[in-house]
Amino acid sequence: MLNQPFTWLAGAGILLMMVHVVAAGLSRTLLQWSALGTIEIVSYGYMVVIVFVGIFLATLRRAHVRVDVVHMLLPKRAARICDSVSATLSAGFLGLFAYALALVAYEKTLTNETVDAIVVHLPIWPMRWVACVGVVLSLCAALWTVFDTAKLSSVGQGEV
Amino acid sequence: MSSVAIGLIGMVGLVGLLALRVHIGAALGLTAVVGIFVLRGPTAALSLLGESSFDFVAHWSLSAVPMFILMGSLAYHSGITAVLFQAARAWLSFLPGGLALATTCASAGFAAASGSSVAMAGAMSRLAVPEMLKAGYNKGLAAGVVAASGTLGALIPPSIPFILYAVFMEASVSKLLIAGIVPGLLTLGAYSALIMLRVWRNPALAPRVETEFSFAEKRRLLSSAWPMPLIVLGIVGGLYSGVFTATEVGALGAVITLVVATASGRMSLLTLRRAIQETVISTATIFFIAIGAVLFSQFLTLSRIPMEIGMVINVFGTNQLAFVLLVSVFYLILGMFLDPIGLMLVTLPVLAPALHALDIDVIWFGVLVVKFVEIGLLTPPIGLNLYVVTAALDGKVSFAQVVRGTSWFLASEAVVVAIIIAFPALILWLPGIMN
Repeated sequence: MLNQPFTWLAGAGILLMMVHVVAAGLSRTLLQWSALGTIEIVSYGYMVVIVFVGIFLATLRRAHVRVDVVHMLLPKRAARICDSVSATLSAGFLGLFAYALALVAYEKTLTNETVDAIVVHLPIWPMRWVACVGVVLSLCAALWTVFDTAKLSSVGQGEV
Repeated sequence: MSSVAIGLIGMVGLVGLLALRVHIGAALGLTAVVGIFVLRGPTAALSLLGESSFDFVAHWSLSAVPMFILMGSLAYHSGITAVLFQAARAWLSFLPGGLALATTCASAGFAAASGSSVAMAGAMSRLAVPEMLKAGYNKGLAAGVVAASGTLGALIPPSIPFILYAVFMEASVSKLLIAGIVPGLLTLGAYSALIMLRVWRNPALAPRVETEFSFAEKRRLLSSAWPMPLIVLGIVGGLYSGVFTATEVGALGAVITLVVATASGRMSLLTLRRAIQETVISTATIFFIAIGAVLFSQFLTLSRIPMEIGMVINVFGTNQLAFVLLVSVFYLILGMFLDPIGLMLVTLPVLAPALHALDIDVIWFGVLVVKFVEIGLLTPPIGLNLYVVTAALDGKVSFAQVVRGTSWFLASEAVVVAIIIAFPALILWLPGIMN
């Protein structure tokens, strides 16, 4: 349910970025006309949306990469404890990450952070909040995993 | 406690977190934040976490990554890759091990649209292995050729590992991508020679395919595979001429693939949606690891470990060859346990000062590093491609058979690595003459 609008958002970001970059590249090559601000819009706009919303979606779908070599050798009970600990530590990191992004975003909002796009100064502080929201959502998804893992451990089944 | 000691404790802590099965990105990030907290205090730790991660994502060169992933996903989901395999099958089936050769050649073609080895191994498993098994091929050979050929994806441009390496080592993305062409073709040649040699010595491994293709049929299949040469031409031509940046080439490749697939009736809304979803998730998982690696490399720099390594190398006057051989062993061992992107990004900050101290070319070293991390995909116990192929075949071939079949290709990898180390000029001439 929740992932649908965010999948659309990130997907739209990918498609718009593709069209924007191609249009800018072709206009520069064929028409000798540079679309100013492309690098800044791609870097601070599309990329931030795609990556930070994507991190939330990957956390929700439990798609982040892990090393299984030790886990595979553990007995079932130890493996479940290991799952709980790793889910808690991952959530802990995302909590710290969200807090750090919020602190920086707040500072940059106060100073009205912009980037020089030659013809205009593009405000980029709102994108710092987008990144922060993406990681806060990831934290929620990770906390759900912690809860889920603990529940599975208590009934003695499953693996996360 | 000295900063170097804190750095070493951090490295041990990282291994512990990885063993606990914490996400690689979170393990790297957590170790770095705690380490920087101990070295410089909470303000520095939080500030680096909040600033560096955002600045890293908002990096123009890295915007090529989602574009290349999109291009590969579009090519796979629209069936362009499948047509390529059918054409290769029709033209190469008369040779010993023809279907296996067709798989390797189709993989090389697919590599020109995909920058990910694991994605390629997964796609080709479903496409080529059932055909080979139906023709009576040895299960190990059928699965091994797919697992090994997947690694071509990281060498033949576009290549995601090359883009990440270039950003971390401050090298030219375009030159690195072009530098991958020769080792990619060398690997293709080595794999093909190995297949033919094995089947020539033991024909039972790959019985000759009975299906006869008429010349008209072969021509029809070849002409229906035209999108791939067009994509290759767009990518290599754009990069080589210097007209387009890597991101523009990626975006242009994705547009060409989308237009071609739509024009040939292979693209539906569902296909597009699948390709985009896959691109978002793959991009996010790569960047999550890379953000962790950026933080970890900052922690290592603050702990002065890379500088100490550089100084040790200077003091002992280690020569280039000894260093490269040492690094090769290091990567072969770590590659058995770590995922390729994680392995590369964790080790580069440690090795970078040594490269400068020994005056080693970063482009050539990049090719070698990517080659080694790709070999890591084929070595158990954590050879990702081995698992991907086993899982994709849904019990048709056991993990042990996949490992046995792939081990033959590791022998040909040894030859390719030896050539890369012995003849750096072979790797460097193409990037050396580009615009």
